[in-house]
Amino acid sequence: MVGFLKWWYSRGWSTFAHKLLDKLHNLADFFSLGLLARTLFYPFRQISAYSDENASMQARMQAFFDKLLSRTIGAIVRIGIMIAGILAIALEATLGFILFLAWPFIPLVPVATIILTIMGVAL
Amino acid sequence: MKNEFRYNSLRAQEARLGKVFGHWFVTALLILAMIALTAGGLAILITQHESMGWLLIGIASLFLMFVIWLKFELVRPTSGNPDDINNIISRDVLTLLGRKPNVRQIADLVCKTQSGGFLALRYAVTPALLELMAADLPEDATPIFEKAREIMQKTDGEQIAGAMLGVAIIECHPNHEDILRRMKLTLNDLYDGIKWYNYLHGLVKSMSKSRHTGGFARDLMFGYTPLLQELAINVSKSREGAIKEQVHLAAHDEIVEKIISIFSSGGRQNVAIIGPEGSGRSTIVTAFSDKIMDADSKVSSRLQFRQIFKLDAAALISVSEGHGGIERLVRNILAEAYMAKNIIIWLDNAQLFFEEGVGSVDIANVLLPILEGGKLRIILTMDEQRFLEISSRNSTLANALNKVMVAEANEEETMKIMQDHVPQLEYQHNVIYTHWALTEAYRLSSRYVHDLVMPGRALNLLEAAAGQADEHHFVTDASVQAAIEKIYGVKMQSTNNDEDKERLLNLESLIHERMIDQEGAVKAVSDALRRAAAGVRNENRPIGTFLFMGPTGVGKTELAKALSEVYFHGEGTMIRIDLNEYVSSTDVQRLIADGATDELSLTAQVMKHPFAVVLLDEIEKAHPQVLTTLLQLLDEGILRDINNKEVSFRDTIVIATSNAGAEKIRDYIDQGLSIAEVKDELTNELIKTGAFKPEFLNRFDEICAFEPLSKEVLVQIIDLILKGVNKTLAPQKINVTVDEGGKKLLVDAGYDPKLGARPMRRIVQKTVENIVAKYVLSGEVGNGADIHVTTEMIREELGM
Repeated sequence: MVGFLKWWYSRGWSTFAHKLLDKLHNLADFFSLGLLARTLFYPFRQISAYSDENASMQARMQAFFDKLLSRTIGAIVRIGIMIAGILAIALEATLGFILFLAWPFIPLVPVATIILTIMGVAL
Repeated sequence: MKNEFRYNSLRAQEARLGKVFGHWFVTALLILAMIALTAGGLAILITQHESMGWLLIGIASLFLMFVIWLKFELVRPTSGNPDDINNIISRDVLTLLGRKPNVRQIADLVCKTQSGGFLALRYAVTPALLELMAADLPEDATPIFEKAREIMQKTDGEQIAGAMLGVAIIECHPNHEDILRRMKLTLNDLYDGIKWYNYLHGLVKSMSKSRHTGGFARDLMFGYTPLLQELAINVSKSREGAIKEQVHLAAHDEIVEKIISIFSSGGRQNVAIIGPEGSGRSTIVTAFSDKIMDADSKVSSRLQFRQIFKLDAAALISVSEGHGGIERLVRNILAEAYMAKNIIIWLDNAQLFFEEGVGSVDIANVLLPILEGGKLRIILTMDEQRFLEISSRNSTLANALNKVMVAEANEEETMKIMQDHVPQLEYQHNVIYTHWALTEAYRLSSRYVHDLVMPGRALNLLEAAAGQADEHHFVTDASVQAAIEKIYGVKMQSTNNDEDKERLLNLESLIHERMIDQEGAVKAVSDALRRAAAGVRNENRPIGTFLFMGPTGVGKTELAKALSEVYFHGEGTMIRIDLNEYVSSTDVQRLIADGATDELSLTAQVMKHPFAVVLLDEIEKAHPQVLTTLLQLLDEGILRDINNKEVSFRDTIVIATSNAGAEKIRDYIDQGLSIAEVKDELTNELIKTGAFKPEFLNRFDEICAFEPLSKEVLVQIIDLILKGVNKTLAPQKINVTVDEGGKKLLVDAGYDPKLGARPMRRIVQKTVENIVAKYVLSGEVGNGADIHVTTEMIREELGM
């Protein structure tokens, strides 16, 4: 019992925190958040007209607008994925943080439930 | 420091608790119970409005906390202050230790642990051995724990595992060195075994950690690559989910860093990885791929998540159509790779893209501008010899490449790489590799596998040995020997059994069953071979090197044949090179020619039959350049063939014969001197006359001078030849005998002091064999007859 409580309030708590941070890191990696933020306006899948320095003005303009479109599509897709990722991380972080705060009180739950039982508290 | 085990220490109690509840089934039951209690509690609270529901929820929370404790801590108790042994003993050992463990109990538990079992299987550190050794030690376990702690520190361990306790017991035994020597082991081998286990254990642990690979949206900014997907191999993708090797040679790491530096800079974006086959060129490329695909590695964002596609020349040739088709195809592929922005092209065996031939195509004109332009990242891997050939043909191409050279791995590195590959091989072939299989794979491959360098050659042999595992699925040193015999066609010999020892002890008499006289030479050769077999010889030289001098027909070649018969079990293992055919300096090329073009070259034959007598006949007639080439062979037991591959002569007996000095020998004998008395004088004479250089003669273990044969000896030789005739007639059960007078007559008729015994076989053929043939054909004798040849019959046959 002593060993358990010692572990719960020291290494147990910090292990939980580490695991939570790992999970958040994994989620950020899964949704490629850093990468998407860095490349937000990159052309989507490099779909853009090949531009030649010697091409006509019309062709160059065409290439410019193609690229612009590709970048816009890229940014929309990326923003969509980033929002999904941020939501997932926020959810995980909130739950994790609540649990982290609740951690020191969990060993008190059995005591509290005994008191509630004795007191005859019912829903 | 505290080295006394405490049964009731917190870690020991936790470990025992973890063992009881750590099983997945028990954990599942606990979780089920927790869910049931919570659901039941809530149900009571909500539907029955009874406070008893709280109690059930309270009990469920106890289960929850216990499961968390179990998973986070109990199944893997963390180490504490290492000053106290109780804080660093591994969990599986803690669960097995009794209240007051003595040495015998520790010996008993070692093999029940994972690491102890590992050592038992691979190093034969069995429970029986440990119990036997423990029986000689005092009961107190404290010194064992103390020694185990030392071993843990020496092997870079974090906890005291079962294997460390096992090795500690061995090390504490006063006669451990003798015992280990008998097992062909050293303490360092066992330490190495522990490190090997620690490494594999770490590898398994690393597999359970999550990997960061950039996520599913990683490639959104990169283009589509349909051509590459169809015609090339995505190396980066094939590495996803694969066990990433942790053993990286320092030299390879350096090369990976160099590649990263080249690709991160603004210069020409190509790297030519040049090294011999088997040196690990492909491993370097995959290590590079792993590094840039790892989100946690510190590489530039310009390089991170770039994917490596391997192009295969033969595959491209097979799909390209029409004249110029291959150029068009390669241009399209490279354009696609460039447009995609995340592709690194890998040309494996790059020489195939720069030469015309079967399975190769010269597209240097397409590749050169791209290599020089440096806009597309390209890795080329090729053999150093082929690179030199390409460089001499196309210096512009060679200059356009950023070259990095890969060297052959040394023994320590090769052993580590083999240990790294063993789990994969064991899984693929369902076998268990022993330590001796690895050491034997290194030893034998370095001697007999010539087409690769280390570590590739050892790994190939190790894998081949899996097919020769014993009935218990163990791959041992014998499996490796069998593999080299069966797969590489190298004939192995064992000189360790009693029969071989007996044969060596009676070498003289066994040789004399085949040849007569020349006692001095036979003794000198026998003594040298016995010394070699007893382990006195230098392992880095041939078994024996002998120069046989003397006139023609005195038994020089016969002794070589007798040796191959007696020492190597058959004349088939004699490689004979007539050096009178190597009289010009250009003949050196023939001597060391590639086996593919000339299977009769000296190097090709020895490559195929490394256990053989190499007879270099009439050595005095060879060109000095040829003799110089042979010096290394005599000195180091190595000869490099035309492709610069090392061919080992370290398991051969090299015999050179020479007629030089024959006249001098005859003069000495005529003067009544014995060969033993004049041997040194004779050698000096040969040097003086310039027949041989002193440095050449000094390379031989023994210089044996053969005496001319007397008529008495020739009579004995006639007996030996007749024995041969009877052996030939044995299927017809015909036995031929010649009377004494007849033998003398044969000797008189065939005797030629210049030719020695050589005419004897011919004279027996002309007389005795002719007589027998006539008898058989006329039907005068049938199967099972005895033919007695008299002096008269021989005289008649000779027309005397």
